[in-house]
Formats: sequence, C-alpha cells, structure tokens
Amino acid sequence: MDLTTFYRILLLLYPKDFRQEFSGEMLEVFHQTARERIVHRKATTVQFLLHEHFGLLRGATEAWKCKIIPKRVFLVIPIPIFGNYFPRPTAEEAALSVAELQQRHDEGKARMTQAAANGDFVAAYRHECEIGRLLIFLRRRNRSTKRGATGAA
Amino acid sequence: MLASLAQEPRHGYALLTDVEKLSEGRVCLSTGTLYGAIRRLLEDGWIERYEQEDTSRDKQAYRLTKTGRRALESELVRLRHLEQSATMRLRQKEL
Repeated sequence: MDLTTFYRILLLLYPKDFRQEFSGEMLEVFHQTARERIVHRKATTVQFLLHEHFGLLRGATEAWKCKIIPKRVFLVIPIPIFGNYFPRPTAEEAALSVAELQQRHDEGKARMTQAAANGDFVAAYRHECEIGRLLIFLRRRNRSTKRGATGAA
Repeated sequence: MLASLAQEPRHGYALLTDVEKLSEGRVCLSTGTLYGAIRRLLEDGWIERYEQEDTSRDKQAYRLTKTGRRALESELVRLRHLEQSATMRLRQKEL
C-alpha cells in the first residue's frame, strides 16, 4: 500500500460534506508536502507521516465535532439579585419622554452597528450595554403607561 | 494564516509553507489541521475562495475578506496593547 492510498483511506474518517469540499485539495497539498519534505530531506519519512496522519485524525475529530455541535450556543439567564438588572435612569434620562428615549435607543443601535462594522468591538459592546439600559427604561415606561390606562378604564 | 493571506491570495500549500516561514519554523501545520482551520475561517467569513484563471479543482486559492482584515487588525491592536503593558510592568519592576 503506497502513501497516497493510506492517506485516502484516512480521509474517509472525515464527514462526507468535508470530504467532498476539501479532499482533492488536501491530497494535492499532501503530495506537494511529501515531495518537498522527503525529497529535500527536511524530515524523515516516519516523522513526516506521523505528523500528517496524527494531524488528519485530529482534523477529522474536529470536523465531526463541528458537524454535531454546529454553532456555539450561549444560554443567558438574567439573575435579578444583581444591580445591573435594575439600572436606574439618570435625572436627565428620567425627564425624557418615551419618544425621546426611543430616539436615543435607535441612535445607540446605529452607533453600535457602525462601531462593529469598523471593527471597534469594545465601543460596540459599550453601545450595546447602553441600548440595553434604554430598552429597560422604555419597557418600564410602557408598562406604567398600560397600568395607568387600565386604571383609568 | 490571516497574516499570511494579508499579503496576497494563496492556495493550501503556499499557505502551509508561508505560515512555517512567518513563525520561523515554530508552527508546522499538517494538511488536516490546515483544512480544518480553512473551513472555520470560510464559515466565519474571514476568508473566501479566490478564483484564478489557472485554478484547478485541487488547487484552490483563498484570500482575506474585509471582515478577516478587520479581525486581523483588532488582533494586532490587542497584541500591541499586551506588549506595551508587559514592557511597562517590566520597567516598573526594574525601577
């Protein structure tokens, strides 16, 4: 059994979609690397093969892991005992109307998108926190308006 | 890999050798590791396939996208900050 056949067999360890997409390229790169490493005596054949085949096994494990768990899922559970869950508006914010608060929220959202597009993720996070705060105030206002309307009715 | 692609589009083998050269021989990727990383970068939209006239099916070139360039730049900024704060701490210790 030659090196290429053995490499082809190991490629079968990868998920089908990965194989269809990359196996041809991988084989081509393997040939080129083998030629360069072994012919130019950069590494011994055993060293090279161990490195390549362990890499392949690790890559296959990783590819299956990505297939089974496609995306990272974060579950965020807000815990009310922390102060940030009950942010207080500043005096200026308390004096604003619902429409003005909504406008500030929309402006903050635009700034956040712009910062993320510029790659300034620290600023984007700061704007995100700010619009989160404004959203809480808006919800509180809406709730109290509804309560007032129900009471009046 | 991003730093390697920042200069020009490269195909798999060129990428492999350039990463080794950039890291002065410390990072020696196997084809399995290389294509695992290429797939992740493609999925995240940091790199894209680059169509060349003489590209055969088994010799696909990749290039950095705008998002990838920004990610590389922010990583460089982070490293620069780290280097600065480490240097400052070293100097404080010497004083």
